[in-house]
Amino acid sequence: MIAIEQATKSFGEKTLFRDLNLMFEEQKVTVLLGENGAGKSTLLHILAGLEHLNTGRILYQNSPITSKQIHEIIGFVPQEIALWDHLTVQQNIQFFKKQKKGAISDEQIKRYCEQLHLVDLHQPISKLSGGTKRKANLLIGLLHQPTFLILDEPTVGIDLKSRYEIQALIRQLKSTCTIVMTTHHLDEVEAVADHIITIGKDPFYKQVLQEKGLPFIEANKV
Amino acid sequence: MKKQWILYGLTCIAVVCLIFLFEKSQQPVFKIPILIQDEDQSKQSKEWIKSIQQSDYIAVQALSNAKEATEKIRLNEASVALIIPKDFSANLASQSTKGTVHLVQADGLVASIATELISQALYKQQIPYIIKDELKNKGTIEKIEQAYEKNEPTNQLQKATSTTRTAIGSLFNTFFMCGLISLLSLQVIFLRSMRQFNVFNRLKLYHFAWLKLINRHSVYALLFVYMLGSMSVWILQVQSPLIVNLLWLVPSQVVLAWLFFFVRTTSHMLWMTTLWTIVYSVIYIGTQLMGGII
Repeated sequence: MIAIEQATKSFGEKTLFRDLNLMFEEQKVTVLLGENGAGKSTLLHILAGLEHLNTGRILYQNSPITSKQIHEIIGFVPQEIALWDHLTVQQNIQFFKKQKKGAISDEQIKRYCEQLHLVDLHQPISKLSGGTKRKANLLIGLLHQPTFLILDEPTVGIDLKSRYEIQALIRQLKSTCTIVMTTHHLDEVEAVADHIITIGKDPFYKQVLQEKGLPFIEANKV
Repeated sequence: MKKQWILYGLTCIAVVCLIFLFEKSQQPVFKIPILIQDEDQSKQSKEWIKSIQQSDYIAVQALSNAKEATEKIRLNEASVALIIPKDFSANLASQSTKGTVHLVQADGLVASIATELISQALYKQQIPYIIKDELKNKGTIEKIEQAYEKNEPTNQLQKATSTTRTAIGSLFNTFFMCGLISLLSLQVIFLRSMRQFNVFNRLKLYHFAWLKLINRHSVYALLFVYMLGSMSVWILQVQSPLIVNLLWLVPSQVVLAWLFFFVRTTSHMLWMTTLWTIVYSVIYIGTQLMGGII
């Protein structure tokens, strides 16, 4: 179980959230919904240890956890394609595999590639389609068997088939790890979410979720 | 990526070639042509000829026919012609070389200088025999030659020339280093495709991966420029303190790496790199003018 306790984050004079308390259940998929600029990506970066809270702390199994300890357990899939453009998918996989101990086996990588229908492993990233890049981007986040997986809009800008494949993989992965993700697709929320948390000031998202009959939690906010 | 490294390399080689051409154009060397015919073909005669050839100011040409010596001197093909007779080594051992060596000399100062250099070389050949004689024939000639070579005083003309060469070398090294500093800064242009900040952010998830990347990049860039610098020095046959040069490049690379990996806006990065290169070159020139820190 991962929790954020009394978290405040500000950028200069702008405060994104204050005294935020959130909890992410183990082996569940929690989706963060909110308007642009609400602080979803920032929150994910904080959970990934890439940003720091002004006040508050992150708890793992009810104990405070440092950024270094977070890095040991997480897999982070950023919204941007974070792969070496000039290298192939295979070369990117090999590069990121070497960065940390405990990487998955080549057979497991092959299974993920098959599940995602990830072909063109020997093409440079720059020459791949958007969907293929997204899949490769996701695969890199899975290389070190994370128990806490953070996905920042994993299906943005890709075709429907690729989105379905990624959603299927997410549903499969939640049996082994805690997943927190953001998305702007309501169908995706319906497809994968076990819990929904709204973040931000815009009431639109709450209205839509209420209309859809989807239960959600409203995050503490400014 | 590979193309950019090749382009970087080609640029560095082009600069090295320019330096090479510049260096050659600055150093005209005048050598006095002399003709030598060795009829003795002994160890001593060959040592004498070798001693003459070692001079930076003499160009030795073989004389096939002694009768042609005068004609060649008259036609200005040489300043001096030296004919070493067959009994030279015997005369040298008995210290009676006077009048036994045939010399044809042109008029003028240049020929006189050549003759002087030839005489000095001959005298140098005689010294071990003189010493042996003084020691009443104690010790072999080989041991005396070894002792003489060990204690030979420095040739003042060569010393002055070496000092001048060192001075020219220091000036050359200053400009050479400024060239290396500029070459090093070109990495921000040729390797700009490596500036993928999304990947940099991702690497922060892995312990020290970010730092390793920066270090590896810096080491490769430094080694690349250092190797090219070493190659240039070897080609140009100049004195250049390579280790000191490398030490000067390291702080520059630290700043360049910071600009490369942390300044996101390319135009800002290029501007700051240009500014840094100029400032660092000025600092380097300034320290050299003041006698150098290292």
